[in-house]
Order: sequence, then structure tokens, then C-alpha cells
Amino acid sequence: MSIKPLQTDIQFLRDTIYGLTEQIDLLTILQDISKGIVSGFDFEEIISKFLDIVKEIINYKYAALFIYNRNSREYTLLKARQGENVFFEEKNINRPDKEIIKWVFKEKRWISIPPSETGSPEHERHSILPLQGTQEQIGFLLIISDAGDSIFNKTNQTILSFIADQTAIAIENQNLYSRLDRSKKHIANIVESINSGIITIDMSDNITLVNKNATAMLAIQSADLTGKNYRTVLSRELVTIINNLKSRLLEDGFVLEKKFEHNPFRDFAIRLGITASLITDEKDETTGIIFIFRDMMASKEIQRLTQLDELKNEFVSNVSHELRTPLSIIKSYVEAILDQVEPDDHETQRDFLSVINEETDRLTLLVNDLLDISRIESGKFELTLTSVLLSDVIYSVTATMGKRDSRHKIITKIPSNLPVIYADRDKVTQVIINLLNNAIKFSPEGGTIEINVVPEKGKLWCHVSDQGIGIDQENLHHIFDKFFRVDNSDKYEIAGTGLGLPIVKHIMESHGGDITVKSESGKGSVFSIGFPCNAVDDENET
Amino acid sequence: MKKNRTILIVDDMRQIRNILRFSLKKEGFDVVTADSGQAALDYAFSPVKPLDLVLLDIMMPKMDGYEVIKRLKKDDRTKNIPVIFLTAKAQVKDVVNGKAMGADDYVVKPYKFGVLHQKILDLLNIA
Repeated sequence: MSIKPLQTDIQFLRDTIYGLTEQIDLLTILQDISKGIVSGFDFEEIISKFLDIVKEIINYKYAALFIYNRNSREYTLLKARQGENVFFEEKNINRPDKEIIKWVFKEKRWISIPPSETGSPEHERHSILPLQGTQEQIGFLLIISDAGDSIFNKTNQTILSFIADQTAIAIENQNLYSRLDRSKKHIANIVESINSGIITIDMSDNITLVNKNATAMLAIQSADLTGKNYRTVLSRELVTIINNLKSRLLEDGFVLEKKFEHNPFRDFAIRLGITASLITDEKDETTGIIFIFRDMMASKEIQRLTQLDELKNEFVSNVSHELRTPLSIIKSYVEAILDQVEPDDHETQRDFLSVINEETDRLTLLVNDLLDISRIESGKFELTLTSVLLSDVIYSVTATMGKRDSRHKIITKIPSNLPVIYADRDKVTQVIINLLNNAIKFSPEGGTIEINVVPEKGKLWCHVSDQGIGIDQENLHHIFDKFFRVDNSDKYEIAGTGLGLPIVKHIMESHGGDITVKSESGKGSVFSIGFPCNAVDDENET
Repeated sequence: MKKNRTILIVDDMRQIRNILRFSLKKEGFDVVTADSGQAALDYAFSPVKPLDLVLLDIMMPKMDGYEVIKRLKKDDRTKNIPVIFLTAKAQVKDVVNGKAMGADDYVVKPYKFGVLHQKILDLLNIA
């Protein structure tokens, strides 16, 4: 290594010292500026400081800061500042041409624009200072200064570039902070308003988040659990569940919903579903676990569906029993005729065949009910309307049923000259059969069943009354509900699918008619159906 | 061989009682019937003729077949009488339930009389 002999040229030494002093001054200035800008607390402050400093360096007449809008891809004027004793009107500012701005950003330096490009007076100098962030364009500062000022020198260029960079970064950071803030707030809003309880923990088992719903669902007493170890603050029951889920999750990478009964108040259990998943960072490394609690009882919809589901299950089991009973009767009688009854014992054969016949009718009724219900459910229930004499329908039904059932007395009170109704004859027949069947089913042997037809209030009413077991008030509200069967100890004694009355009600409603019931436990029931009719006109026609 | 063997039929459905009585009599059994659980117990505890086997329906009003078998198996007078459940309940849990409660066999409606007959013969040790 050799040491260069000291230069003895005095001028050179002086220049060097002078240059170094200048650089030290420059560095000092830059450090001050940098502090000022970077310490700016918000957007406004940063920009304000920026404009101040630029003014100190080049005594501009006017400076305008344009910011690049990523969405519109336009530069918009954010802030303009006047020099002292200068009056500039904003509208007089010529926005620099896009091509020029493009060029400035390509050059990445402070550039003076020739007057020919700006169309400005000769005594003005327009220059542009680009603000380029690390990720994206921030904008530019349009500076209008006196053409006589010699501001374009190397020092100013250095200082302004430096300031522009610092400001751009400060603005960029500000933007990032506010975006971060916004998305943080956004996520916080979602977390709080979501219909589930959320608890997150980090890898050292400390709670990092508990939303309001979790506090409510898990009956967590203390206000703020964040930062505390979940084992120390949650109930023992919950800790066990979370431990279990955690180890399964860390082993398998996922956990399907686990259901459990949470019993924070002893007398009152809540059914919860809980799922867990891993929280990862940008490198996909696990940083924590999120537990999501769902209140299985909370949703009214779920409750309604569960209830419906139970009703359907019960219905299917009812139907299965109802189908098996007549089927097994039919099968055993047929078997007996084939295998056991003497070929010439015609009387027994006839007896057995009539049982088979009855049970076949029962099956047919049941299958028809099921078909009707499925038609109603799928919206395919249609009426074929014709003029119908209600008395005809009732007489034909009582004639057939009276033959079959000799254990009850059926009385009809039907006035002559009744108005005709406009209805589906088969469906009306079905309604009458259904009501009469019910009256028979729920009446003791020898009971009287009365059918009264009365025109009243623009409707033709048919009242079917029995002296049967009646319906108590509690059940009366539900008898038209699908699948509902009055739950009493005699349930099996009376066959039915729980479909008859719902179908009857639907038929009446699709006719624009009414159905009502009056009943008292032990004192019999009166079912009334009313068909719309025009009493006066129809009377003349018939 | 089947002479003097008495079978009690318990079912709330008249048609079922009738056809079972007919078929079993044809096969040479003596038959008594009950239309309810209570009637069955009343007969079983003080039979006119001792019972050799009970055919028991499950779904009956007031007292169901499960209750009847519970009481039969608890009483010294009746605990050794074989019981066959005869029912329209066809789920596996019903079969398990029935066996657990002491039923000796189980026949689901609709049944084949031939099958029921064979089960009766087996339980009564009739070749």
C-alpha cells in the first residue's frame, strides 16, 4: 500500500474544503428536512411541510401539488400555494400535458418545461418535480417561478430530489396506514356483526380476539380477555373442548364441526357447534387458531326446520304403520283363503273377501290422501269447477256410508230449493266423506251424526255434528295442521294419517270457502264448511 | 300332538284377532283372544286353561305390548310362557327392544302365516 504524496496545490485544497463544507451544510439541511417530513403526523401536515421547504429553497410564485388517482388514472390538484405578494388564480394554471408528465417520471428528476410547451408568459418558468414512491407514482409538484431566478443548480436539484423522495415515501406510508386502518376496521365490523362467536388464540395459547357474540354465547363474564391464556380465563368445560380441538387440529390440519352442550348456568344448556381452523401468516406459517361457535338453537329457521323434520319423521313412521296394518290384514286373509279355507266353504270365503275389500278401500283412501298432500305441496292441486247440488253430494255419500256403518245413526236436515254451488264435485265429495268419517271414528257406537245444510250470509253452510269424544281447546288450534294428530292415550285406537283435515281445509280454501270447528272435550264436535254462492240468483235458476 | 296347546292372541285389531284365531284353530291349537293389554294380563294371571304361548301386538292403546311383556315376565305364574311379538313396527331398534324385553321371537306384519306357524312350533318344541 502506498500513500499518495500530499497535493501541494493550494487552490485544490481550498476547493476541496469548500466543497466539503458545502456538502456538510447540505447534509445538515437534508437531515432537518427529512426529520420534518417523516415526522409529519398526517397527510395535511406532510404536504404543508413539503410546500414550506420547497418555498424556502426556491422562492416560487406558485406551487401546485397534483396527486395521482389510481382508480381514475388522473392527476387531481390537491393543494396549491402562492408565493408572497403574488396573486395567482387557480383557473389560470395550465395543467401540464400528460406526455410531459410521462417524460418527467421517466427522467425521474426535477425538470424545467420550455415556455413553448406551457404557453405561459416569458417571465415565468414552469418546472415539474415528480414524486415517486417505492411502489407507485404519488404525483408531482408544478412550480412556477420567476424566469430571472437562477434556481436550477446542482445543489437545488439534489435537495429537491431528496425532499420529493422523502415526501413521496411519507405519503405512500400514510396511504398504506389509512388503507390498513380501513381494512382493520372493516374486518372488525364483520367480526363483531357476524352471527357466530369467534375466539382466536396465538401459538402460546394467549387469546388474541373475542367477539361480542362469543362473550354472549359462552357467558364470559370478564370484559377483556385478550392477551390472557385461555386455560386460565375460560370455563373448565370449554378449556377441555378447546384443548381437544386444538390437538386434533394441529395433527390433522382441519376439524369438522363438533357439537356440544354448553352449560354455563347449570339449569340451562346451550347447544353449540364449534369449528376450528389454523390462522397463518403471509409465509403460510401457523400463527394461531380461530374457534368459531355457532348457536344451534339460535336460528328460528333452524328451529322451524328441525320441528318440520321431526313432524315428517313422525309422519313417515305413522304412514308406514298405517300402510302395514291394512296390508297385513289383506295378506293374512288371502293366505287363509288360499291355504286353509275349505274350497266349498263359500260362507267363510265370502266373509274373508269382504274384510279384504274393506281393507283395500282403507288403503286406497290412505294412498289418495298421500297423493293429495303431495299435489298440494308441489302446487299441482287443481279444481274442475261445475254446477254442483250440495244435497246430491251429501245424499250419495250418506247412502254408501250408511250401508257400511250400521253402528251409527246418520240424520240429514237439508232444505229443498238450495242454491247450486260452483265447485269440484269430486273434491266436495271428498270433503263430506272425510268429515263424516271423522264423526264416525270419534263417536261411540250408537251415536248420532247430524248433517245440516243452511244458506247463510252469502254462503251455503254444511254443519256436521257428532256426539263423540270432542277435542280440547289446546288441540283445537292444531287440527288443521299437517301431520298433527291429537295426542292421547287412545292414539292407536283411531286410525288416521293426520292428513284428512289439512286436505279438507285446503280444498275449502281453494274453493274460496270457509271451514270452522266448534268442539268441547267429551261433548262432541261441529265441523262447518261454507261454500260461496249467490243465494237469490241461484234459487231462481234451480 | 298340538292337542291342548293354548295360544293367547293379543291385538286391538278385530280383523287380526279373527284371522289368527281361524288359522291357528285350523292348525289344531286352542285359541283365546284379548283386545287390550289389560284384558291379556287379566286372562294370563287367572287362565281358564293354562297358556302355552302368547302372540303379542306392540302398538295398542292404553297399555302397549312392551308393558304387557314386562308384567308377564315379572310374575312367577307367567314368566315361563313364551311370547312372540307380532307388530307393524319394523325398525331394527324395535326388534332389539322386543328381544331385550324378554320376547322369545318377533314377527313383522304383514307376516306369512307359515313362518309364524313354524316359530310357534319351534317354541313349543313340537316336531
